[in-house]
Amino acid sequence: MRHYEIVLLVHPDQSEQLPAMIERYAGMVTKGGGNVHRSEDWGRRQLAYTIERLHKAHYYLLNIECDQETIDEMVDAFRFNDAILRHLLLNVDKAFTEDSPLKKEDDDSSKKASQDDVKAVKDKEDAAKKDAEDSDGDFDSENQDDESDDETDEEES
Amino acid sequence: MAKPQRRRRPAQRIISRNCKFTAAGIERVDYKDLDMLKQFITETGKIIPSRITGTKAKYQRQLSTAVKRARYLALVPYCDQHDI
Repeated sequence: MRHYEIVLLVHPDQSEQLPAMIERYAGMVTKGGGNVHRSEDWGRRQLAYTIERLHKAHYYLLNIECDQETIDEMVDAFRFNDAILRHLLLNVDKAFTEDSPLKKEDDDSSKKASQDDVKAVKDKEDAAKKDAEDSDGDFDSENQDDESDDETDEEES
Repeated sequence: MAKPQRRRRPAQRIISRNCKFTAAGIERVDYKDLDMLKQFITETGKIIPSRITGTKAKYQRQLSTAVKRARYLALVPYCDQHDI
């Protein structure tokens, strides 16, 4: 059993499938009697140069402990997975479990952005619900807008 | 009579005599630590020589592999000519 560190670059359009992919790979590791020590999502990052004409990619870091057969199988899976643009496989000498510098950076900056996204989606859903409720009664559209604005204020505070 | 020695041009970059990695007590140079890596590459993406930065040979070797790994992952550019 050796320790490995893997970084995956996933196509940004396919990043919704990423959790399922990671689950599959983690399953391969545990099936072979290995362990997943660290599993980090760095989110969608700007690339320093274009890869396959893409400017952004979704990064994922894995630190695992497994045997040779499993790692061979995983590398094959990475190669044949069209969603994975690039992968980096490193042999490391121990299990790393603490947060990596990039993860920390992510937590500081992009978490706020993702929260904002979630908020925006929520607002949209609320507005849609209201539209559905109010469709029977003849309410002014202006009132609805006011209501949704009020809600956002509450959430922020 | 001896030939007058040609004056050397003064250094354009500030030469540091201290190794940052030794000072920080770093065990292994990490390719994921971009803030740190960016201190050791130029605007054109080259690795700055240790004679300028004062990095110890042991850490300069680690730094070079770290930068190359970061380049492969597009965390750091290879050069400034990328068509982005």
